[in-house]
Amino acid sequence: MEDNEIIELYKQRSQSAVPETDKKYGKFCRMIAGNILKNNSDTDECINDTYFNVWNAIPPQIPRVLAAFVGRIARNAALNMYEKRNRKKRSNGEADLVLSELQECVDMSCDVEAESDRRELEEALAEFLDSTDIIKRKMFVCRYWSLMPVKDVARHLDVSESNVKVTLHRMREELKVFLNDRGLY
Amino acid sequence: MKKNKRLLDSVGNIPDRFIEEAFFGGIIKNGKRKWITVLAAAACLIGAIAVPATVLNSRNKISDNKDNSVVTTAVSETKPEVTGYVNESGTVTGTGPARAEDYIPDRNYSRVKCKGLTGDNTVDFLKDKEFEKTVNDDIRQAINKIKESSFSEGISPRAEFSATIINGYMEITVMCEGYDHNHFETVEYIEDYEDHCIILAYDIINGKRIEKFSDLFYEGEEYSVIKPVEEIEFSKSGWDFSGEMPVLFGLDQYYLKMTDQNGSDFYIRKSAVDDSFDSHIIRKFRDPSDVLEEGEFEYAEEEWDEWELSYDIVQTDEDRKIETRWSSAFHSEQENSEMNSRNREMISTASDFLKSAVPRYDKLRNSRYNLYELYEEIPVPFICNLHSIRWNFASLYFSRDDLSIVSENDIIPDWSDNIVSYDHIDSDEQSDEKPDPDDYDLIYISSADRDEENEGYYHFTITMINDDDECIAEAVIPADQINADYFDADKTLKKDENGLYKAECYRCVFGTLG
Repeated sequence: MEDNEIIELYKQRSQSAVPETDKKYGKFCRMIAGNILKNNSDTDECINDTYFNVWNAIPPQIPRVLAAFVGRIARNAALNMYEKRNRKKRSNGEADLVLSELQECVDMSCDVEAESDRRELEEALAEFLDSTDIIKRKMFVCRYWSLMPVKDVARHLDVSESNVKVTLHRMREELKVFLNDRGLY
Repeated sequence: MKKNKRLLDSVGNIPDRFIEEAFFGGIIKNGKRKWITVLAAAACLIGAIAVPATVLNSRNKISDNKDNSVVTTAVSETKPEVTGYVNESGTVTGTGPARAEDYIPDRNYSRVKCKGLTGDNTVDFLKDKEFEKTVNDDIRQAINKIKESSFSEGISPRAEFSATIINGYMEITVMCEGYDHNHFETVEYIEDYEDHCIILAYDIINGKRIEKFSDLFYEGEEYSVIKPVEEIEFSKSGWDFSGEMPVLFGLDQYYLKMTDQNGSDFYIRKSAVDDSFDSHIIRKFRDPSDVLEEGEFEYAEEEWDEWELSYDIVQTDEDRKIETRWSSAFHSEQENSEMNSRNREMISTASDFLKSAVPRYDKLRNSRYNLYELYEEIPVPFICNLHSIRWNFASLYFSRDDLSIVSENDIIPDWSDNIVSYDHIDSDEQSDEKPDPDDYDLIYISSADRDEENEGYYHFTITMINDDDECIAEAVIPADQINADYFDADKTLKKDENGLYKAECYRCVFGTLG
């Protein structure tokens, strides 16, 4: 089913909306939630939350890219659940690994609390990604947006793991300089 | 995490186009099958032993427990090579070297890890370069053969390469493992054994390939590819052995083609070492160091498990139960007999206990539990279908004194007062309620470890099961509250002469009690 047809189901409050979303993007959402939570029952719970939130969000929102819309909701739900589950203990999950990598690029002492700063950072990230070539961009998005393990990024993009590691390392260095030039680091 | 999470949030808000591009950008175009490289991995001989037969449908499935919705493309008509001699009764007569008259079972075996495995899937560690070239030619041919076969759309097969050499015999498996771009997951891409998997076996000390399955067994010694007890199980399942020789074989693993009740072909994976340890040529200790390039390998001597490789599965004469009969070459007849009798008693006790504790437990896959196997440190009998899908169900502890079951309360009397967290993992209703042990029919200790963060404390995981729920509780117990009879401050639960036998009980899906 095409995305606009699925969105139409949501607009009509059709009970088929969620099953059709699951059919088309269930694996995608599970992949994202699974990367973060590493636990099947938590992932299932997260996916249920995701569909519930999508159901509540459409309408009024009408996503331009349904995959990104649903995936983003799954990502946020999974990160929230991850934070809740790991509040009391140290964790070495994928989210922490990804965070530690990203910390290389952004000064953690800088205050991204302010909405304007956050928006500026997001715009800079988009500009940076636009400036890189497609394979690097895909690597970055797979690793830092979907929190995919390096091994899976390599598989997904048909490149070697060492290629992914080296490329991401270089990208983080480049991003650091890029953000520094804009006074964001 | 909170402040840090803002960073992830910022990445989370990158424009949609990047997400669409990364995940739905079409790495694999319709109809395009991209060969990257081939998995060439030496099957781990010892690792394969414990693996139950994997049943695969050669035409319709990627592998068991995988998504069956991926429809495969047509498979090539390549016929398997002649790989052994199996007579009509499913028996192989060994054509390997003669067993020496003064043959004594070797407790040790040599294991070699080679460093000289190169990125282009060739071996680079043999002194005999002519033989090495032959091996590499074989690998290259195998890769080419697999490359010519077909793959499902959206699958990228790829490679890893490693080799394990046991007692101077080397096994290399050339097979596909793939990444399914449509479903963002790695699949064990063994769609069709005949087309997508080739196993090569070598005697590297004598510099020759093991050409025939029967060469794996000592001269004149018989090996049945189908055991009598398997015939019973096959008959119950409506499966039939096609009578063809193994379509593939390595030093240990081999694959038999079977036919199901609908006439469709499928394969079962078996272990020759597992089934026929003493007749198998790999059993003889050999050190291959002299034929390997200096500095290109790591040599280690390890011990065969004293019991694990020495059993047969039989149907008893008295009550027709199927059980595992152990006969370790490393023990006397009397010790073997004592082992079997002890296991029989424990499995009977465990079976009665579980039947009484959870008579109706029916949560997983709508199957009633069947005690399938008890195993950990002590080998005890299989008591149901060999080819069942199984998973761990409970851990039971037995006293070494009288083989009675030792309960969690005997080991940690006040454990429920020390629960620090819990999770209702199999409850129909989401509940945060603290579990009351009295509400559960079966309680057992899943694990016991020293608490890394609290000196003098031990961390226990306790599982509680009833018809409606499975709850996992974590308890942190001070050492002085643990029964010293069963507890060792260094090793946690005692497993020495005065301690406990631990047995893992399994459930199985379509097995039946023997």
